Amino acid sequence: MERIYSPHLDEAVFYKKHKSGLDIYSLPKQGYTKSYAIFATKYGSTDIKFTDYKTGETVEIPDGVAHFLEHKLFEEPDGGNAFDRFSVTGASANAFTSFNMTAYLFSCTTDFYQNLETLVDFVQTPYFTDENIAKEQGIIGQEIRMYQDDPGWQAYFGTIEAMYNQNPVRRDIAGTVESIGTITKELLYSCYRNFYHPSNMVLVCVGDVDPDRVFETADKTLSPEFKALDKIERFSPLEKEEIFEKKVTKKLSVAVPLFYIGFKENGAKDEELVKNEIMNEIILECVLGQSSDLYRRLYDEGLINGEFGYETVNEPGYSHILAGGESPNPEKVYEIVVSELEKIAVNGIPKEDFERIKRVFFGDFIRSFNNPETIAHNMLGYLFKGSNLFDYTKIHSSITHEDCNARMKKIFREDMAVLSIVRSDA
Amino acid sequence: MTNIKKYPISDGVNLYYIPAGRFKTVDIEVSFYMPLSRKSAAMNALIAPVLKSGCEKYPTAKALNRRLEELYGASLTASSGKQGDTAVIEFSMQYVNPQFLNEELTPDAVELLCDCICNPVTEGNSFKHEYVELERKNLVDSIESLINDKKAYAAQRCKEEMCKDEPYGIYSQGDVETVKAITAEQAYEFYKETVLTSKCDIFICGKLDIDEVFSIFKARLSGKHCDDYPASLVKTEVSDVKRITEELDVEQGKLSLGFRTKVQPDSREYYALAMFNRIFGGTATSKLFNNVREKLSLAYYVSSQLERSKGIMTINAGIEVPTFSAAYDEIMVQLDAMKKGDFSAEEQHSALASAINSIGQIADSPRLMIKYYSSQLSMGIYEDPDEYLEKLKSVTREEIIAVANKIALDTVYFLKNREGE
Repeated sequence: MERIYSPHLDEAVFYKKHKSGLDIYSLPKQGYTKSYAIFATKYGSTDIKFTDYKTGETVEIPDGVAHFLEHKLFEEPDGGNAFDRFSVTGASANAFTSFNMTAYLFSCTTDFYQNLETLVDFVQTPYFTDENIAKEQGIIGQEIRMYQDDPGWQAYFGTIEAMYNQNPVRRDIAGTVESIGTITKELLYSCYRNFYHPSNMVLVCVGDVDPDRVFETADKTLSPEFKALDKIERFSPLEKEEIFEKKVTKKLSVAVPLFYIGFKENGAKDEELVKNEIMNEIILECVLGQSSDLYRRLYDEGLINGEFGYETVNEPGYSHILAGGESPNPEKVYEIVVSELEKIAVNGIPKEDFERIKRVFFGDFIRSFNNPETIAHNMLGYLFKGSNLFDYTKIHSSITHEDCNARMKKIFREDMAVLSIVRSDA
Repeated sequence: MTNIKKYPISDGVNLYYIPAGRFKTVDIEVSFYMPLSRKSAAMNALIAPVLKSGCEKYPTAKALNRRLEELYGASLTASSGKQGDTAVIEFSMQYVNPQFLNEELTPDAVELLCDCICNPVTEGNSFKHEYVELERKNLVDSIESLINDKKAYAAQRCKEEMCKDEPYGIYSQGDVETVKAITAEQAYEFYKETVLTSKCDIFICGKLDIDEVFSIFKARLSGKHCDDYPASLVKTEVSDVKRITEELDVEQGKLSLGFRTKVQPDSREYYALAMFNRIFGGTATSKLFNNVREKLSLAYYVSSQLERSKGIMTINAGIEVPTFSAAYDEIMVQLDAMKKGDFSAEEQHSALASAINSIGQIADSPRLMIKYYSSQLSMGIYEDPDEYLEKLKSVTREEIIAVANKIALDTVYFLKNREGE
């Protein structure tokens, strides 16, 4: 068992790799009542094609399978539901599917190790039948419709559809009613045995937990049949550098139009993702944060309001920046933002702004350790990017003013910019 | 109550300290309470963001935000809301505990918070007109955009219809007509005459020198504050059930039901009601979730929630428009089942376990600690989270059935798509 201690945070994380290939992490938080565990697989909506290690066949995955699998894994062979097992001990369980991962998690204030057994056990027990697939198609059909009505999601997703040509990130995580209609149990079992192999997964536990006991519990529950597997052969279509289309507009009943501006980034190396993410956060806060000139100008002209925000996304396979909110004139916001950011990229950000904002993110990082759930999610995100959360302090302090100025020239480009709008009168 | 210490500052102004060395931050909340009305809702909703726009020392939002950034990204918020029939305007601040930094942040942070609350940017006897105009526009947009979130919109419409004669039915952010009519002078007058003399509670959670903080607040927020206003009303009579249907462009229908439980917030019965709610519709293994969603696939989401101060229970569901009746019927069947005692000891145990889980959560978050105590204290209730849990544990099956039989349907609100399109 490896112990990694951070003096800046006064926190320690414990790590050990299980013989099945599963990476197990525990971060003890004394004095906390709640404990949190996430059992996640590096498999999400962007996985669209792979080679099945068992049959040697190449499998094309219809849209929405990772999400569908997530729903179905809660069903047990005896007709029960995994949620019921957690509720017996009062644990609160949930799951989510994103572009890059599927995660199963619970939080609880009692019986942590029993809940941990349940978590590892039910995720390792797939049970798919024609009948339970048909039933799920109804429920997920409604979920898809709910998101169709959601103007915020439609505006956000529109940006991704605009930036990317072939990259699978542009496929809806839940799929479409048609694509999920093609799902069979054979397909689910094939995806399951490949992507849900422990060597493709991670277990993270945060709270008042004992790392040795966490490991023993996982060891006792993991099937002894698993031998560490080679990396899964995944296929990703080649993505063009150019954006797909400049502007996407959707019609939904909204009082004020919603919008997102996107900047696509090409060629980011996996090992640079974390540093890129931190640099982008510092840059974006300097140029688009609430105390920036650009934000003030847009706000005072009534072009944006308190809903305006930004985000940097830096994942293996795709990287982009988004900024958006509500506006009576999204096209005007786009014009101003893109031209101003190009100017700032040429002139650079003032050193005092950079230093002040860099402090903000250090404060944010320390603050994040208030919350076991946030710690667990951040740890998971960093692990799936090939890094470690405790490395943040080192990477953060290595970032210089010059680094950020150079980076802006790379990412703030008009030819890489898109606009997505949702309005009532398209 | 053992986790919290009261430090009275003056009449109607009290500071409450929750010592907690496990957190990496210091969290502070300052709240002002007054009766809820169309006027106070609109005024508070307008005044809160205006105060956040700057203070005398840092007179623009930009200057204020830069100051917060210098304090390692301290956060400061101003917002308005309601608790039952009471209007609240509140200010909060969070900053990294100085022990993780090489700087003593506390006096700077607390003085800045007090500057924003007590020393706004003024023009004569008024708030700065420019700030009021900008925030008025934002507020109107915000009120109008409630319609974007169909789930929240339906829930609010149900409350509005159900509580037409009670302040609780008023949307906490006010209404467009009232907001448009408020002048910058009137807002400033309300702020000085009403807000600054309203009952004030200050909460602090973290590990720090409380005497230092107490002195700063005592110097800035003293005097006589009015804490004498009526508690929220729990209606005990229901006449005919109100049924409202509305049509908008939606893919998914929304059903929102309002019930009167007739239970007072500080009564023994409330604990039985809390247990009832968890079994009935408060969790992912509740009767509503298992039957309306899982067994019959009639809803993507369906749950029940309680407003303790008003003795009201609401059920919200996202449903298919054509099967609205079936969903409604099944909900009422499940309520009836509860009234007949058709729930098992296992279900009660499950509900208790989920309560232990979610109440346990409170101790892990400074914000939740403050929210818990401030809402309890505003209803005149004095108990720590573990005392509350003990009371839930002692609730009997008979008490749950008894309280279930008091629950009466008051209002049914249905949001569907426009026909013939």
